[in-house]
Amino acid sequence: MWWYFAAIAAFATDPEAQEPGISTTFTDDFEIRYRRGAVASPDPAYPGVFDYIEQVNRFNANIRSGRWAFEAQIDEVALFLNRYYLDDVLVVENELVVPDLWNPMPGSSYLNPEKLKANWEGEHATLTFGDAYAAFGRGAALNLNRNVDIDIDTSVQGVKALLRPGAWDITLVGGQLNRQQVAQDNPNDGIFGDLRHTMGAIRAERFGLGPANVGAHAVVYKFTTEPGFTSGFDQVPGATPLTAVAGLTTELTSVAGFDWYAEGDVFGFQDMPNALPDSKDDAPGYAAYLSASTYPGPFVVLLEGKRYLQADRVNGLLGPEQYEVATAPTLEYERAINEDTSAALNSNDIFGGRAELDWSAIAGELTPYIAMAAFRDRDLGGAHANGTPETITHPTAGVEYVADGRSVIGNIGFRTDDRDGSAVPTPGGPDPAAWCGAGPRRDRDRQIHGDVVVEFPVGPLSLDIAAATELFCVGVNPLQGPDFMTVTSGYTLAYGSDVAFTWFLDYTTQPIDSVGNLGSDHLYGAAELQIKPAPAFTLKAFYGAYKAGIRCSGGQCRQLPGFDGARVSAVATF
Amino acid sequence: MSLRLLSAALALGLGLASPAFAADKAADFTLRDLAGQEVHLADLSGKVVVLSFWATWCGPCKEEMPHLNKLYGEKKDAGLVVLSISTDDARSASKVKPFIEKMGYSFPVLLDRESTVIGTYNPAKTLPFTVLIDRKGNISHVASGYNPGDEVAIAQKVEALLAP
Repeated sequence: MWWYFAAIAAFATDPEAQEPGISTTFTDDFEIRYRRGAVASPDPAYPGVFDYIEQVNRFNANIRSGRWAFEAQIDEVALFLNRYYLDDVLVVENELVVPDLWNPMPGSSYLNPEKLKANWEGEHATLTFGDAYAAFGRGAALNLNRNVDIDIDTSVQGVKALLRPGAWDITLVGGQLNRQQVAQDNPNDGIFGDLRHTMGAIRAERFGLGPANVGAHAVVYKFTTEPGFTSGFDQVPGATPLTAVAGLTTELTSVAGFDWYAEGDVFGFQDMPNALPDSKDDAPGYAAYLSASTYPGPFVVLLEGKRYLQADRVNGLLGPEQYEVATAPTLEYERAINEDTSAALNSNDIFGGRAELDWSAIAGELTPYIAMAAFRDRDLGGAHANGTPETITHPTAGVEYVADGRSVIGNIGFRTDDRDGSAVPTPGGPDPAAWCGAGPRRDRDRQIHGDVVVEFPVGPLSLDIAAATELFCVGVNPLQGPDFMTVTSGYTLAYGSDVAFTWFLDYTTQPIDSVGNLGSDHLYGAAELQIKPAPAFTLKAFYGAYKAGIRCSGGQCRQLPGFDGARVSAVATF
Repeated sequence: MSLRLLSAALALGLGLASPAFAADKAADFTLRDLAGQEVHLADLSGKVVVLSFWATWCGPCKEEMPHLNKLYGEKKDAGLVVLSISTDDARSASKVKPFIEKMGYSFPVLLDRESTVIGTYNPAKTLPFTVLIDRKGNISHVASGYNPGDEVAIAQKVEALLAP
């Protein structure tokens, strides 16, 4: 791996090497981490036998000249200490890459030219050859985004044209789906290559038709069942699963005192897994979404509604690959999504709405809000495994205060999933001695949550406290676990943007997360030091453990998986 | 092997995050604003441009934005353009305009729903992310994250770029 660092350094540090008119930007994100094994060692004499070291690097290059830009992303991962002796037999702990996947690297290492693209930016058109992203409307038909902040990155490897004749945007995109192979934050294990599903899409949008922007789109996905570079194209004529989506969008500005957005999509399926057990295999699906917002005086009102039937079925074959090609608005408060509530997000038979009222109490400084969401989830399959449909209600409230280097951003909410027939207590179920009340329970989940970020100056420093808590009380449902409580928190002391020290402290009784490192299965602690030698160069050193969730440190926030161990990272843009 | 990699990466970062590489041409792009109007970066040649990447879920972004709005109000007549680029994806696009209306910001807000532009300027996609572009279209300064006091440094650099 050293050779490409050296080659780039030699090129980039020599100004003469750059041709006139050529600009370059390189970004390198390097991390090496010591991961504590998630499984306890069977031999107390060797407690770290399942520990290993993982080193990950992501290098991005952007080279521009005139209207052209070329981008490349090269990902690399290597595992060390990835083996141990058991009864004198050498055991390889993690199989980084499946044997059938072509890999130019030896041993437990892998190198992948993940993304490549050439982009031409014209006055009335943008053309992309190689890896491109595409999202239509509100994402119900197509939403392939660069979600590296949640360690998911799937592009369309092919051709994309965005034509802008006058007031029109016409988008044409086609190719094969190219899923990120090397995870930057999650453990790398069993990399199996792409299932190169084929897709083609078109969208036309007309802007400025009086107060309206109107659009229409169509997308076809042809899913392959075999990994490999050519199998996706080879199977296009065959009877492999197919989804076709067509949709219309309308955006109206200042009509009847509101800004409006409406979208409708219809889905046709062939040989796709049926999401609803009581429907026919060829039953179509649809998605309808409406939003309206108005701004009377110091108030802002946002109303949203949705009705989705078999719309998430388009993602039905992508579970093993852990991404989705289309994601409609959920209207859910996503900071409070847990393993249980996520089922409603992916429901294939749901309708509901959300209303939010914001009040600009002190213009630009203090804005409290209240919101109410209600949904009817009739999907009895999926992760919920509900026996009956359920009604979800979710009031939330919060405040944002930002002024003079001080800020408070906080939210609280109470979510209830009330399954039909829950008025009659059901025997059995969770431990009645748990927090959520003794005695028989109704078939109803309840979730109380809150999160807050507070920042204020402390002499020449600033103190940033970010905390979130959740209490989940499980209704009677044998497929669901016991009640649990989680608290995640981070306390950052920063000197400008140059130096920041963060102490993370988490508490959870969620059984699947309970592997804490502070002398208790429930308690996690970690510390991180961040230094910025230059504005676009960040060094971080971390030791300890924390739960999964949105993590903020040093003035940045990311959605991160849980981690236990130590790591050092360097991110530089140059 | 791992130590060599670490050393190379650190040396690379230390050696290259230097002013010598701050004069690169800013990558051109075209995005639509909240009203559906096209904004083409190349059309802003002759102006000092601040690209500010943010999202409605990003707390540090919300702390930085009032400062950028104030700076824009004070310096726009002197040739400053602040392009506030929302990286909220398609699903949450309906939240962007209500947030801007609520806060009363006056700078132009562009929608980068496919994260194409932030992917070019900041592949790591950390937020907030700020890019200063001089009157000739060259990148003058980049900064990731926001902590109190950063706005002073940004204002000083903008002032310097605006100076005749």
